[in-house]
Amino acid sequence: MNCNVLIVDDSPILRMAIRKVVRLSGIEDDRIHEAGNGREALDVLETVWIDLVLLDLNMPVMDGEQFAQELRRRPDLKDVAVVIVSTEANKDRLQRLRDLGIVDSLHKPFEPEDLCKLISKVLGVKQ
Amino acid sequence: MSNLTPDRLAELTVKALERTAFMMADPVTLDPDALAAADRSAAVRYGGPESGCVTLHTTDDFLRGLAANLLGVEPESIDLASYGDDAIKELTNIVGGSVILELGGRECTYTLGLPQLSPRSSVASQLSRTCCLDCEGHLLFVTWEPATVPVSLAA
Repeated sequence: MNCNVLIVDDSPILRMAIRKVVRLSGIEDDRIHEAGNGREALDVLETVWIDLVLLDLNMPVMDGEQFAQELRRRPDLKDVAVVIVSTEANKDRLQRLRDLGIVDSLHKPFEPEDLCKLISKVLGVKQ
Repeated sequence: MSNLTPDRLAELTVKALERTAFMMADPVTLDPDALAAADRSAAVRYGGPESGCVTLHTTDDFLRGLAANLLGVEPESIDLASYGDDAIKELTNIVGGSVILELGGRECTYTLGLPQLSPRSSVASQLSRTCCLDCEGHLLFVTWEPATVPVSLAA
């Protein structure tokens, strides 16, 4: 699948675990990018075309909600698909993110198959 | 005030281990001496209608297995200096997320903080709120500690 995916999570080990699942979805390894927080993710987005962001919310430096707000403010990035992959359960916060155009969310702990299906659904819609 | 029994805490943790790392675990009788011998601990606080803290305590051998399962590699290839702290913090984050979902349900208004490595100095007073799991031969302890004063962790 010729799509670029960005994994944003402050846990290196979880980024690697998610990378494994993304590869199972048919994304080539060199099309998978990583960032440890929202700030780093914006840096990646300024240099690489990204089709899908898998976004954790609770991160230091710039959290996922701040990142999503910043993304929607930028005309060149506002249409990038974002899926939340987080332990977040707060309904008000999740609604704020939906209002920002977040396409879907997956609550940790999740089964790899659930993430695979979500990736296929989102990227399938885009293609 | 909400209540979460050690049995329910164990069920949530078993599910988190299964879904996150394909690891099987069973509740076992809590042995305070084994708890005191844990190598690492991490805690995550939550706030909202009520506040509290979830703390995990375990051994380096368990964390080696957890990291290996997460990464799909052999346990012997895991460098705990690189991954030990990260693995326990992430599992604490995931169990903490399960706890606030259990407390708040579909209309959850709880917010989780960032997981932090934690000293084990206060464990002895929380034994009645701690569950113990045998996970593929290694012990994992989980403590749920509700606070008496509500705390907001809103970003």
